[in-house]
Amino acid sequence: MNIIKRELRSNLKALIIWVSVLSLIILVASTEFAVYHDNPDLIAAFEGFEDMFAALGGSIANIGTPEGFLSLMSIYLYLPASIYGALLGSLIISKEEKDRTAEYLFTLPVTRNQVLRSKIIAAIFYQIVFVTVIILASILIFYRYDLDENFYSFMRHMFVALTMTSLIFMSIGMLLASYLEQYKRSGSLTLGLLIGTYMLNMLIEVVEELEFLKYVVPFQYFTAENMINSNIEFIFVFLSLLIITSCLSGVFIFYKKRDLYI
Amino acid sequence: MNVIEFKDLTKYYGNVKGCENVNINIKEGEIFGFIGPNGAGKSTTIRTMLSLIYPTSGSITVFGKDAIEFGHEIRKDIGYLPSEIFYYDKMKVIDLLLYSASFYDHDCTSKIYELAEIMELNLDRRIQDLSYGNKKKVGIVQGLLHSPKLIILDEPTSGLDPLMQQKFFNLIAEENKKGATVFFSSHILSEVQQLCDRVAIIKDGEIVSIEDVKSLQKDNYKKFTICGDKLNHGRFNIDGVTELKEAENEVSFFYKGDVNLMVKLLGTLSLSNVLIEEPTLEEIFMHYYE
Repeated sequence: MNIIKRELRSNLKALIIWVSVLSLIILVASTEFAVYHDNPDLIAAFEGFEDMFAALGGSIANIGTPEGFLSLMSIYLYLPASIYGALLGSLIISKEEKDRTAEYLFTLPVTRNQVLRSKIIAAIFYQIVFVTVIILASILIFYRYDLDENFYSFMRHMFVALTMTSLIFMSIGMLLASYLEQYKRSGSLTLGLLIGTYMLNMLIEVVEELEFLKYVVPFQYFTAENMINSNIEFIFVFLSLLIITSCLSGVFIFYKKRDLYI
Repeated sequence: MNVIEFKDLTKYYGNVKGCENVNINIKEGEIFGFIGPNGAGKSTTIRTMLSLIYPTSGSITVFGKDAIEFGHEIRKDIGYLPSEIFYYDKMKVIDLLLYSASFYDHDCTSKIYELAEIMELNLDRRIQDLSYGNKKKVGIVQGLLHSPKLIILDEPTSGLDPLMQQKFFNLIAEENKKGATVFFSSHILSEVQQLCDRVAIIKDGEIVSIEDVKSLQKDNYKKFTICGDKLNHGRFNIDGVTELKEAENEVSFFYKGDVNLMVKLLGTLSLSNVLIEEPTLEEIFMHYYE
């Protein structure tokens, strides 16, 4: 319990900065939405750019509604949540070795498993807090536009979607930090992977032949457009949980076995 | 009863040797010195004992339990002072000490204040603002706050001024009197000489010798310095003489053996001065290092 508390405290500042900045971005974007809101002429003018909007993960037809607008700017939700997760995951594991505090922490009467368990609990908790705050902030910010049930159902779906996607990158970050000999590079490697899969995601949206790749691109699991029109697909929730649990099991296996770098 | 037993402990980092075939038994209540130059494998041996790193082969038993398998249990009774101290920079000293204390079953608060007072440590400062020596003091308090039964010190005195060193040695001696076993690693022999009962010498990852500090000094070598005229005639080159340095007017050497023989030899010479001393541990150990 004391390690969890310690991790929560040491990561609190970063969390507050992340969600504050992101909420601000959503707030600024919402003022732009005022232009599209109930303005069919403007929307008609955009119709030629359908492909571009698809690449961003939404459809132009929806831009007049709050949920449609948010789905178009969903890149600003998925990317920050995933980047935060990737950095949090890799750092929370690697920092003890990077800051050379491993020689302190692991000579206390704790097992490596206890330490890992505490760190994972703290990280998952903060990741969920991150997503929850962002979803609540979005609801609050768009509240002035007569929200209907469609919007709230979109937000519920987005909650699951953002949580799953960001936890995938968080657990990959943790796995790399515990496996790699060059643990210091786990953060940048996870981010590289994240950007790579995001690029692939945009390609898949435009080039239909690449459809089959969607199982290896987490951003394809819960596309914002699907979050509006249909439900969350069970297969992708299952796939996400599978990736998360295998990565986290890997963390326990690799970190326990190896020499700490001091 | 043995508190620590190293059995054929070997550690390789890939192809690089950390230590090889280390066999040491450390008895309850003793202060055991561990001497070797930098890079000899002292920290490797200690870190393996604390399961920060795992042995390539061999085993370590602490308090009768396997040090790897029961690591977290035996660490309840171990206080460890690493050679370089790193803590969470943003924490205050007192918060760090209370955090450390929270891992032990009993209340350590009064002991923290007691130790901090002895070591003249300011508890309200942030770790990142502390000097090297002050960090070392935090390390000392953190290592001793739970009244451990086994104290492991890895080059503990670097960064401490002589006054603090003395206070620290007194602290260790006191804990030892209360029953704590001490494993003291150092490359400074005088401090080992001051504190330890027995000492192991490690060189290139291997234990060269384990000896009793007192008998090492008393029974073994005498350091002879002889002054006179025309002494460089080679007559001192007899059995038991080492480190022979001959000059025209002065000869110095270590002698281990029957003193009567040496006195007889000296009696045949006309000397202006003779000095027979206990060699310092440094001098005794020099030939192990060479």
